[in-house]
Amino acid sequence: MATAAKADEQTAVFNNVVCPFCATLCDDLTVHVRGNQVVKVNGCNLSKGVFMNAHTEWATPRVDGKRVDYDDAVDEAARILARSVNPLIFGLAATDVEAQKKCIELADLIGANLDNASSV
Amino acid sequence: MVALQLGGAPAATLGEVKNRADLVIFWGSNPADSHPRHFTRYSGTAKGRFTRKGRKDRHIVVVDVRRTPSVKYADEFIQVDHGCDYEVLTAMRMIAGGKRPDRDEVGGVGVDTLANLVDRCKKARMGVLFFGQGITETRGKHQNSTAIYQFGKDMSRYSKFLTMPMRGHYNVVGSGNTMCWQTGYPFAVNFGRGYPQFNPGEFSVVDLLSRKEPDAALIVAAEPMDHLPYTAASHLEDIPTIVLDPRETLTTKIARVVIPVKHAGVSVEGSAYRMDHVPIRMQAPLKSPWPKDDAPLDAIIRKIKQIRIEQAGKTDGN
Repeated sequence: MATAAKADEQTAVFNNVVCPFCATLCDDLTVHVRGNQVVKVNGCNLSKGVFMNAHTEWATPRVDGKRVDYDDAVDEAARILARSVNPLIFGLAATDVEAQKKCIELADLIGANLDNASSV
Repeated sequence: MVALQLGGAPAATLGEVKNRADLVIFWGSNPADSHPRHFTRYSGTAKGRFTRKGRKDRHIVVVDVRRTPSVKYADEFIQVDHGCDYEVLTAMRMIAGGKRPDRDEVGGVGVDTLANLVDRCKKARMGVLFFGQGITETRGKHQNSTAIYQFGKDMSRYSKFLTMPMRGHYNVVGSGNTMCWQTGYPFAVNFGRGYPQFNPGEFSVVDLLSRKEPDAALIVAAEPMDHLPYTAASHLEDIPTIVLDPRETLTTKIARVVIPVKHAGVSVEGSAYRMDHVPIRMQAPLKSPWPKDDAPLDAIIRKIKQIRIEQAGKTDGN
């Protein structure tokens, strides 16, 4: 799907990129990427914020504030949800449909409350 | 969403708006700041098949409680008193039905101004009323949106008239659609009985957290510590909270478990629904070392099933 073409040696240009910020979901952005960093994007200020700052403040796998292996974080999450009698799953609005389906599968498995930003 | 269930609404894509709409109303919405390219791509200056002159072919009205940055792009600005949207909409429905309110002003707006607006809506080739959080998050809440949908229904007797919420998060429409197609309900669903039950007020997030009912929480791609009322969000600090998010947020700071994931539309491809319910496939121009959010969710599902088998084994042994 990605239509990457070399603009110069280091810069890859992606055309018709969709902006994941607001629900206007503009699908006509041109994104210039150099070394896994966006160096130029022709969207609005909000989409510039999304792409230009995409790699700032990355989350890290943690339990109780301590850095752990990824699988340990996942295992701890599973233990918490398996123990819970009335869990809540909330969010879904800022991810894709495939992840949303997985959240629903999990909610069904553990008998959870499931809600998204529509109710806020 | 509740309003949609109460009122119903005619739907069209933003492409139809671009090609046909000659009257565009933004009510309680400030697209200049919140949806900056909505105006140029669809609702303002965009040139379409039957709107060849673009901006000149459209009459644009902004209705709001304050003079927002969107007003300078509009032909007309109607200022409503704080919290009076429902009254103003009801007066407009009254005028549309051939009655005149027994006063000169409703909610800070002259009745003549409202009568002119109703007249414009009736005569429009295609009118669109976009409404935002100024409607859905103020006094009256879903009743305001219901009044909007009902006004749209009234206008459909005279012209082609649409009402469309200016949804915020890029795939909030998708979350409603996916939940509808998977569970039958768009939000506030509970699986406690083994089948989906729908009850806003009982199973909606702010109500659940305010009553301190959940004993654990999984937050996926959301920022409740920032977006929910503090009385509700603070309960997340008291229970084990798990967060799946590409970035550090206020919620990851209070979380018991943080699981980083790829950012859909930035570092992984995925599908999302635009505000007019058109699904669009997103690209991934960047790379991230973390997996896509389905992967940890899938791993959690497998692990919980394994824990249950182990627990069942122990019970049998006893």
